[in-house]
Amino acid sequence: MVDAPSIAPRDAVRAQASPDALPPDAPQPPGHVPAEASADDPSTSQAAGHADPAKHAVVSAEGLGVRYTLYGLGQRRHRIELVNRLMRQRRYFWALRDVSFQVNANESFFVIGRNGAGKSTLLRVLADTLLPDAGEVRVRGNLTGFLSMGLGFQPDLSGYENIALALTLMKAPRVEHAERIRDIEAFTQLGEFLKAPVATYSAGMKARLGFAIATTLEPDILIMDEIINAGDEQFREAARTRLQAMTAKARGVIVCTHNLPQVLELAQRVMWIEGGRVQAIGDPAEVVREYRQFAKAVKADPTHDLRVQQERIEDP
Amino acid sequence: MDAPLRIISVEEARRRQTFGHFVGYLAWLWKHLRLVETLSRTELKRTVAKSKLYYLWWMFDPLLDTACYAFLFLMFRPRTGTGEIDAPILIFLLAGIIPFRWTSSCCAAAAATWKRYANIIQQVRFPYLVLPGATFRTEGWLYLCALGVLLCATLAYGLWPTAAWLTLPLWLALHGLVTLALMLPIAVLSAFSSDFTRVVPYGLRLMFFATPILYTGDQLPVWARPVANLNPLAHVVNGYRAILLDGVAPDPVSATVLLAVSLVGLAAGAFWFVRSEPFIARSITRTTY
Repeated sequence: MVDAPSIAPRDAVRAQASPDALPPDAPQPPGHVPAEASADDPSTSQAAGHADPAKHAVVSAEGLGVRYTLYGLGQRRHRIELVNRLMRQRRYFWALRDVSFQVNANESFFVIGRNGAGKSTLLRVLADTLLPDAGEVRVRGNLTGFLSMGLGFQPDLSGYENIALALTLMKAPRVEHAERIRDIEAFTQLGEFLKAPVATYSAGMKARLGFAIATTLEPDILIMDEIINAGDEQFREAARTRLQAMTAKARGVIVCTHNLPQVLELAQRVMWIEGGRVQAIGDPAEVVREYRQFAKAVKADPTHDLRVQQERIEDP
Repeated sequence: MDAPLRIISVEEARRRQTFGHFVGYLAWLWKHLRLVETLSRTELKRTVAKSKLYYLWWMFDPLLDTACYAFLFLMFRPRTGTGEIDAPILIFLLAGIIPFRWTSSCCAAAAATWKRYANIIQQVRFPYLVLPGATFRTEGWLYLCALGVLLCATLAYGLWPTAAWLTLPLWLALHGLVTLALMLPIAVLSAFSSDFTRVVPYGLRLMFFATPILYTGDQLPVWARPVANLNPLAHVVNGYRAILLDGVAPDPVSATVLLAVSLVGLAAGAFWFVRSEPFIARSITRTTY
């Protein structure tokens, strides 16, 4: 458990101790044990009992790593990027490193972590809009992409036009459009505002519209980023009901959020990411308690973030 | 569970660069053709969403553009080696400016595609080739409106339709192929280099003056004519002028060469685009991370 800010996250320590440990940029071997398998989590233990646990998961990630090229940073800031590139002196930032977990059917799986922890990058990989630099993700079932509040909307277009665009992007059959639009109208209760440009919407209205669009197609795996934080109590209640109905229909729901009370209320399992690495996976109450302790400890150590950031940078 | 299994890994990036993937990609693209139409419709609405005159701007834009050049042209009336240009100046200018506008708008929009759609690209996976496709369609609609203005002006000047006008749709299709072939490499390079994106407007401006729009090919120095022949847009503009001003069909040899070069360019550009696609999202992410 994390009582004080740790420079090396728990999994990193575990990985170093393990004989299977590999550099983060190397693909993980098939026998690599995910962090999740060793977590004190009933559903994980059950899954680990099978010959191939990933076979029973809707999403399983193993040794996942994503790195971005760093631009304009480093000791040679004065040098233009082209020269750095020609001299092969590019620096990298590991947004995710050695991330392993699995999400089962009928499960609402929440991901928590501070800003810059790597949550959004993880969602991009799951949505297949970003390919990893290490490890792999197996996704079993259809997935319409992930939804982040307000993103994807064309502000100059009306609510209806944005719905049509989103339904086409999510490959909804054209014959179903009318039915889906009725469903969205009923859920959002935006009425005449759906004819107005989305730029004129409040954050709550955008959240309602975004959530309704994301959930109307009922994908096998629903991925959302911070979508149900905005909005009033009535919306949050409706969103909760809809999420619960989706998980009941054998679907996996993956949500990234900062809203810890919501995690405790809706999550069946939680993964906490810090510095691009998995810190804990398991029971929501337990993981949230650890996370809160960590956040409190970090507040007392102003140099922690800089140390973690430095650890994530790979120099040539 | 009988749901399809998808594996997202490092190897997948390599697989997506093969020719086999390219063939499958084209089939995938076919299934997303409706997205081209939807995106194009939203782009069209967005272009006029905040203006009072709405769709009328699609005709005003080329007219105002031409009016500016016509003013300059009349002030400093150019002469050919043999004398003045004998065609009505306005039609001469419109037949150059309007087709060039289509190509240049498409190329400029191709360079800006990634910034405009970054939020969608990061959230949903779809064949990115629909994005230049949608831009091409949007600008194509605007071009058709402008072409209508050009045809009306041609008739107003007493240049009545000849049999050569029947070749206009074919010439339009060929012009479209040239434009698409130019758009794809610009889109790919813009995804990876913001420096290139900055160069595009200057390149288009240079292209404008290097194309015989404000002058005829005969006015170029002899040494420059073979170089000018390498410019595909010069042939495109000459073809429109042949049809509308001279009432004759475009030169078939020039048309055949243009068609062959455009098809090869388009195929190569599409393959390069598809090969680059796995890295485009990452390249865009770096700026938004």
